[in-house]
Amino acid sequence: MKNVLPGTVRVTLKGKAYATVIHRLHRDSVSLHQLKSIGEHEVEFYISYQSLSALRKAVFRSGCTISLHRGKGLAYDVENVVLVRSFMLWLVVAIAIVIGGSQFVWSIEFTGATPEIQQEVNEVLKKEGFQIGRLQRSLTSEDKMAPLLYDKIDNLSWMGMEWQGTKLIVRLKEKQGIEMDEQLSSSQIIASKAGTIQSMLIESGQAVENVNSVVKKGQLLVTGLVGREEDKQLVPSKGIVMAETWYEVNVTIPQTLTVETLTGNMESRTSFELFGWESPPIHFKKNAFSLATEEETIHTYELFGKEIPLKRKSVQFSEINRSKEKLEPSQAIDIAKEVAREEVLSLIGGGGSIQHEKILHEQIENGKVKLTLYIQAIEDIAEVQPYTEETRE
Amino acid sequence: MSNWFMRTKQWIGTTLQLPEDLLFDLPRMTWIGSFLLHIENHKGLIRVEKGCIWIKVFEGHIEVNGKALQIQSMVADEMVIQGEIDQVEYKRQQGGEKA
Repeated sequence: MKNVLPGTVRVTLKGKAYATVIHRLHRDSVSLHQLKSIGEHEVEFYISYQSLSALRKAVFRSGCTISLHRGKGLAYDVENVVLVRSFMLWLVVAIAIVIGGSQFVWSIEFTGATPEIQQEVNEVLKKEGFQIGRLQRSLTSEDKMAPLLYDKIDNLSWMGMEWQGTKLIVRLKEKQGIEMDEQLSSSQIIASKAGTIQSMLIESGQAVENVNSVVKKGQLLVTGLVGREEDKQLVPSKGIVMAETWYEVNVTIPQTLTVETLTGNMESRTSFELFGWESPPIHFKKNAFSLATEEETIHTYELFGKEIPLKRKSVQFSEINRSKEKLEPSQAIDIAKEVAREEVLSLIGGGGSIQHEKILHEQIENGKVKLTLYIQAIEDIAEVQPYTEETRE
Repeated sequence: MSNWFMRTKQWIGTTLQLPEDLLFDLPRMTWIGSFLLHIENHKGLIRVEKGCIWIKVFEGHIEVNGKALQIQSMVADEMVIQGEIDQVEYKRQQGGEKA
């Protein structure tokens, strides 16, 4: 190794004929470095490791003595490393650990498809021995695994395995396409509420009631029996029946209103987070406000386009002033109306709307406003029900 | 080197107008400040002491005097001397001596 790697040797040459030796070296085109006299008939210089044999030849029968000293260079560094036996041992051990470790599965990752399918695939794979810590060689090959998975999981259309070092990436693709409509069983539509039918949109089935007819709760609206007298068929019923319905709502609200206003006083608390450890807050007076809103912002830092694990967290406290306000009766009624409207809307669902509202009764008592409202709304009253014989008329 | 060879060389040189240092292996020295001396076309070392270095050149030798002299590097025909150089002398070869 030393014959290849660069390195120098310090040589001390002693003797009257040192000039001859140097001359011989020069003739053999050996390059010398840092040549200097260190005494009478004594010089010191550096030559490369490779030219040591030339030096020996040059000194031969010159009557000079040479002594070699340790030099510097890569050749010595390598030698040093080799000399440290334990280092070599641990190097070998480390390499063995890395090579050995790379023979095992360290993680399994799923991509694509839905989480449900991923879970199913995971379970099947686990049964087949795909678990963290298993030898890669002992696992079933993809060619054998794929048919098994296709067989066990219906919604899986394709799977592929890819090794990224010790990480197994399982790519999944779910079956896609037009889902066949479920075979609906024959059904009929009845009224879920009493009301006056405003409009009917029947997709399938035979309407029994007409627009503007008043229906009771549970009354048949659309029947699943269609066709002529001779060959009647049972079909699933589907449709929207919009009807006018009514509600009576009682609302009670207090005449005082709690109002929260921001005073404009603000206080912030800043702390830093490093690797999940949070530092105590900087500059923060305890119990600055009795009532306050908190707003937390986390600021991350970036270095060369990558996020570093240091985060700055600042919490902004804004003081709140809570005061009670007395409402005028008209204001209180407006609020009560709004509450009633919201309640009704939540009952009738998205398709419906409020048509008309009327105050039936209002009472102000003990600082409370009691209100009874009559609300007229339009909503879908169609309720699909399995077809039953008894209702056939 | 025999005389006639020298003369032939000289004649070729003058006829072809070639620089003389190329023809005769003449030393070429570059003295940088007082601390670095670069010598080309040297023929080897004669003496190395702390205060003086003798270098063999074509038809004579060069004496370098100074303090703390050191030959930084000595390769085929180049040499770099470092130190506090006070004096550089070119000593032409005396009659009987031979290079």
